[in-house]
Amino acid sequence: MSNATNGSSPQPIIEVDDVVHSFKGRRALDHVSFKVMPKSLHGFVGPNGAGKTTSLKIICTLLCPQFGVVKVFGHDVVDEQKLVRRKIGFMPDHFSTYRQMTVYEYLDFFAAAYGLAFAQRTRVIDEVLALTDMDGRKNDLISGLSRGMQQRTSLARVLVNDPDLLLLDEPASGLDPRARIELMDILKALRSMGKTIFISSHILPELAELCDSVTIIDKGKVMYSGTMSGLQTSTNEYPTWRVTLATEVDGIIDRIKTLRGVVDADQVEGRPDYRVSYDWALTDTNNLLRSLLELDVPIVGFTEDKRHLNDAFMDLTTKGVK
Amino acid sequence: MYYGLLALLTRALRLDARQLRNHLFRLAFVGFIYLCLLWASIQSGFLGAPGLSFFSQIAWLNAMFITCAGIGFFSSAITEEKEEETIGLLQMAGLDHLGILLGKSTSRLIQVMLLLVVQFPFMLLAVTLGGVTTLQIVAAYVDLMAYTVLLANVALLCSVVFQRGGTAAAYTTLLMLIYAIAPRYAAFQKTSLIAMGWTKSVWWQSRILDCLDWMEESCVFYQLMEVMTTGFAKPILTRQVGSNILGGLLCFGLAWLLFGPRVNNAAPGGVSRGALVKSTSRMKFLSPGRCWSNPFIWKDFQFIGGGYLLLAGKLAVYGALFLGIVATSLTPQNWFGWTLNDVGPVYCQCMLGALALEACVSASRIFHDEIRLQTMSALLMMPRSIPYIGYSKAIGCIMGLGPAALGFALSLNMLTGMTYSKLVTGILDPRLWAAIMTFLIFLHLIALLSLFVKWGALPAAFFLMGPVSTCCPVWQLLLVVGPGPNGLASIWGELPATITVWILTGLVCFVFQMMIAARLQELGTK
Repeated sequence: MSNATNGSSPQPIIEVDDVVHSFKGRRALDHVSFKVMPKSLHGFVGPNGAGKTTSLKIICTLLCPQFGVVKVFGHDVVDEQKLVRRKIGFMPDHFSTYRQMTVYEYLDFFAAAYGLAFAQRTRVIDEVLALTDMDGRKNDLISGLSRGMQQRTSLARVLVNDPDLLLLDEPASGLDPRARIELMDILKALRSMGKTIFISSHILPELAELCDSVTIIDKGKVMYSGTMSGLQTSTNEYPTWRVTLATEVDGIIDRIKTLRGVVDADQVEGRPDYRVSYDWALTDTNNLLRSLLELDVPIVGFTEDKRHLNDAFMDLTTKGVK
Repeated sequence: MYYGLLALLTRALRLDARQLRNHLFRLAFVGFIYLCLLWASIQSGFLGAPGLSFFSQIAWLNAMFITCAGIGFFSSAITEEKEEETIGLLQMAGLDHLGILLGKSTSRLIQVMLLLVVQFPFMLLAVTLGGVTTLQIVAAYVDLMAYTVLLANVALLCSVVFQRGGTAAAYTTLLMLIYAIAPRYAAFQKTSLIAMGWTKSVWWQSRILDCLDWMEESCVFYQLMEVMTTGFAKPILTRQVGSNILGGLLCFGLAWLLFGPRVNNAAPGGVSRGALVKSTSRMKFLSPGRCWSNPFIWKDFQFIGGGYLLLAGKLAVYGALFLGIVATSLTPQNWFGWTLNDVGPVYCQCMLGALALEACVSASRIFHDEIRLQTMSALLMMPRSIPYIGYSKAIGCIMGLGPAALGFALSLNMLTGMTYSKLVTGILDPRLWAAIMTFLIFLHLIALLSLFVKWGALPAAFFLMGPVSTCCPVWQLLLVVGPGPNGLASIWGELPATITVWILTGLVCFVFQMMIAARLQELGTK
């Protein structure tokens, strides 16, 4: 089976279905299910110990799930390991580099391990070095490179077999802001090349900017899996809109609460911004705006209150370090 | 400094006290002594005064244990911090160089001393068996403790100077080898000088002869032999005790002096490219070059076997060794007493030793380096099976043994009286294959242990070979197959017996390889 589209709906690249995995009696994954669509950048977030790395290791065939089915490009990760491995590139949360090698030797080694012929290796290595902007450092020892450079080398290694799916475990951890921004630029470039990227990260603002879809996992359970836009609107019971006034108006919250269909209203601290939630059954956005205008207050903005990934993360996951 | 030192020491001792395996190990050691004691007591029925024999066994066992296990244990004191890049953290915590050295080495020294102390009351029981006095027991333990101080500090010095635990352990072994052969050399030189007419009546000659005396007596092995002699009544504090402690302190001082330049300027992660040159260097023909079609063979040949430059270096060294042996044998009345006829056997032994040593070092690094550099998961992600990766890596390491193997093959040609038929007969000898099998199992054991321990797989394998060979039924089968009038060789002929040994070797190695593969898979997922 390929990832070619079947009619109008494309087949998912990764299908995780009801996976359970335990370590020494502790359940790391508890009936986890989610899908990743082709050519998407899918974020995978969760607190420490939530089960992100375990999920990634199962998807990349390093671990066998104790229960459930995981398919990558339609191939079962247990029964068709080699087929899966040829199509994916996995970057673990550590650099996984031979630090006594030069960058070129390191890439050459992995390209040869993937069975690339000599001439093909030369071309592919030059390409990945250019893509990761490492061509000027190709003869440097990896041990002498900065953390950001080592991470790029590791990413270049993942790309030598031209995988359709990249699995990246905390690629930005420990990088300085510049290295992080540069890494994100590389990921954007890869997405534009049609690669599917599955990225586990703690850097939520950057994920929110980059990702098309996201899976939030906590204590081994999927709390949300779907599009970013869905996450930003779906978790509240009532739709929420933000009304921005030119100046603060005394008693406005009480007046808004009296409007038909409004279930809640509050002020964003220190600013003349008010969040208004309403009941779909009693009103709609047009009617709400009309009612607000009738209040005769200086409205300068009216926007849907999309929650940031940070807020969703905080709401969906439990407090405290596990 | 003292706060930090105590913190390191307390932490090490707490860890030691918490780990069950350490207590089990000590228990096993005492259990072994108890078994020896039991055996000695049984012997007392038919052997007069078995106490000396019992005491002698334990003393030599201790000396061997301290030497073999201590080399790995002590030489990783600082290198483990370098490899984990935690030296800077220790310094930031307010520990100065002396504090780190004391904190890291003293705890290990105490652990080994505790092992000696725990045996002491049991050893006193040897006195009741007869043949040994309390003085001998006390003297032997004082000698061993002084030797431990020396070994610990020599290893500490190597640990400061070198980047990797393996290299530090190798150089410690070399230094301790010199320490072990020094008495023999001193004795030979003394005899030669006296034969030349040197006397103690001439002041400067007397000083040199005293120095040689001192060298002869500074070795613990020599001293233990002295202690074991019946009627030993010399003082406990001998030259060996004094010189060993002094040597230990000297090494500690050197380690302290060199700590700053060697540790603070160390390459990150204790990673060194060794003798390999880069493709941009002038000698690029000796660089690893482009990867071969089997990259695993290429990698292990270049980065574990040492690559072309080390290969050339080894050829030069083994060639020089041959010339050295020839030159020595041509020297009349040479120290070793060699003649030209001895060149073949001596070179053969040397090359066999070099081959075995290189093979052991390669076995300890073949998978351990992947664990150390955390590259196992990346390797397992390749569309290659674990056996393919493992066997390819083994071939790469074996290629690095080329010069020693070549030297050994050439030395076989030099053996006087060696003919083709004798060679074939020798090759079919089941005893030879039993020896090869034992060594192969030893190598597998080293590789397996290197996946479990951070350091010291080689000495650990050395000590585990005893119980493995006792418990493993293969050895019992080998006794049936191999030599002796009732062995299979004498009943079936040598070839069937040899084939049986091959099958047994294959089976045992296969079991070890399965265990290694399972462990690699487990480590790759961590």
